[in-house]
Amino acid sequence: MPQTIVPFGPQHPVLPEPIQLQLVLEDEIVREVVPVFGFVHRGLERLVDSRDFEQMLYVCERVCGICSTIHGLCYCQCLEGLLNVEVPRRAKFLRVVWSELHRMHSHFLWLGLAADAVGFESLFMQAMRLRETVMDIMEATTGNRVIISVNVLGGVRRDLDSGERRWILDQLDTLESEYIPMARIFSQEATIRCRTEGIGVLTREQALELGAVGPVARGSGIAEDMRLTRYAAFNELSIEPVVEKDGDSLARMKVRVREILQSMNLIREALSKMPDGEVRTKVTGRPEGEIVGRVEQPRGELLYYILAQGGKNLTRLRIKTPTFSNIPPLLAMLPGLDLAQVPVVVLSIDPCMSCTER
Amino acid sequence: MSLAGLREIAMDELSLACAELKIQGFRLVSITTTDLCAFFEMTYHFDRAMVLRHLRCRLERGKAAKSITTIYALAMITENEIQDQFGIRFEGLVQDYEGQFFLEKESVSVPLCRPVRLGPNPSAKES
Repeated sequence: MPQTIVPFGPQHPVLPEPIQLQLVLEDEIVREVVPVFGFVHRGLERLVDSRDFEQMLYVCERVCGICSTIHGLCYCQCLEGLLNVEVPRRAKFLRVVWSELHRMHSHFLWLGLAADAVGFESLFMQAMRLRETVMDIMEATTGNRVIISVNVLGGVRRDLDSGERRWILDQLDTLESEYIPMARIFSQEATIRCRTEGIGVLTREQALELGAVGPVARGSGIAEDMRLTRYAAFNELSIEPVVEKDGDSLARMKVRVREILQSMNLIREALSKMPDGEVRTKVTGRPEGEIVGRVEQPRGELLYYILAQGGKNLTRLRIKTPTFSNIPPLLAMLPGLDLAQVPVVVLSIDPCMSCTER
Repeated sequence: MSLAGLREIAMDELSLACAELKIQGFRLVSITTTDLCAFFEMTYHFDRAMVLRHLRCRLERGKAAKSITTIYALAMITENEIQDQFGIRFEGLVQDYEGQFFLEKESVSVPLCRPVRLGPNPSAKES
């Protein structure tokens, strides 16, 4: 049968950021996929030459808007390790609160995009409406909606007083009561299921073989979550990875649906257990040595490698983002699918090209 | 401070060492390359049950590295990125973008390939 190459992207309604997949089709069945990158490559790792280690924090927060505070957190933890800085306990709890808020708004955004991709426009609008509550919390507590820039070397820039903590808990209660019916729709509604159930299957064996991370891995039954490495205050919080076993697009959606509720509970627990005290400690000296740090982004494992030689500037900064790891699994999901199923499956890995290309 | 779980090997031993880690259930997390003037330092990061292990080897300038794409599929992306950034060629790279993975055809330089000072940085003396 003759083969046709159809370029999917770089601009496509389901892609918030540009990537191109050259789909090799026989009739309308995908036989092979060739990814094309480089549409938003910025070379941010190179900036260590011209920005000192304190300025690089602001660069790292801008690797990606959706998970900016988690990039900042990972960078700070690495440098605090090199500088032997002990971060105040209260700051660690505050870091958890803001990073879980980021996870929530990222997952809400993804749910909205997923609803749009399957043609459920009203659900898209409801998901974006609920996301606004999370954005409002971030704006009220940090002064900004997306790049909140709360992490600093040695702690956090802002504190939450008792009134703010009570207000956040009230907002979460209201949000949860509105979200639970929506979560049922995403997990059970026929329109969603017929576009996602049994489609884009990644088996547990494939996920292990190809190195999937985050909700893609957990949707295939792998119980890995970097929060279990107990960074920040996660060593004092109860966390179990959200795992689904079917490995299809619906399973990946269910993981994210449940992780929003998990994040709400983690924020409640962090606010209730938060000790009194300082939120920032003074940092002196210059980093020397090498370190690897990992945290859990909304899309999975984020790795920072830093090499420093005692100067103002770092010698090497390497950032490995989760979408980077989830590209080979995506390429394994697509062959055999109908062309019309491709957009939803691509979206199911929650691709973030700003992170991937840096 | 140095990396825990780091093992230094020769480039010739890389494929075998990676294959052994694969059999033991390690997944490839990433590859970090650093330009250290006289040679490139390549660090391979692996994970099993959320514990990291690292392999490190040196590569002389102008020499090709061994690709591990036949062992770990993820290496295709990281090795192509390294080709873009450092101009290092990989022998046996499955799906070789020939230095145009992130960069355009018009790009003529390798952005991260630049001399790095060994030892203390002179700027460390500044107040």
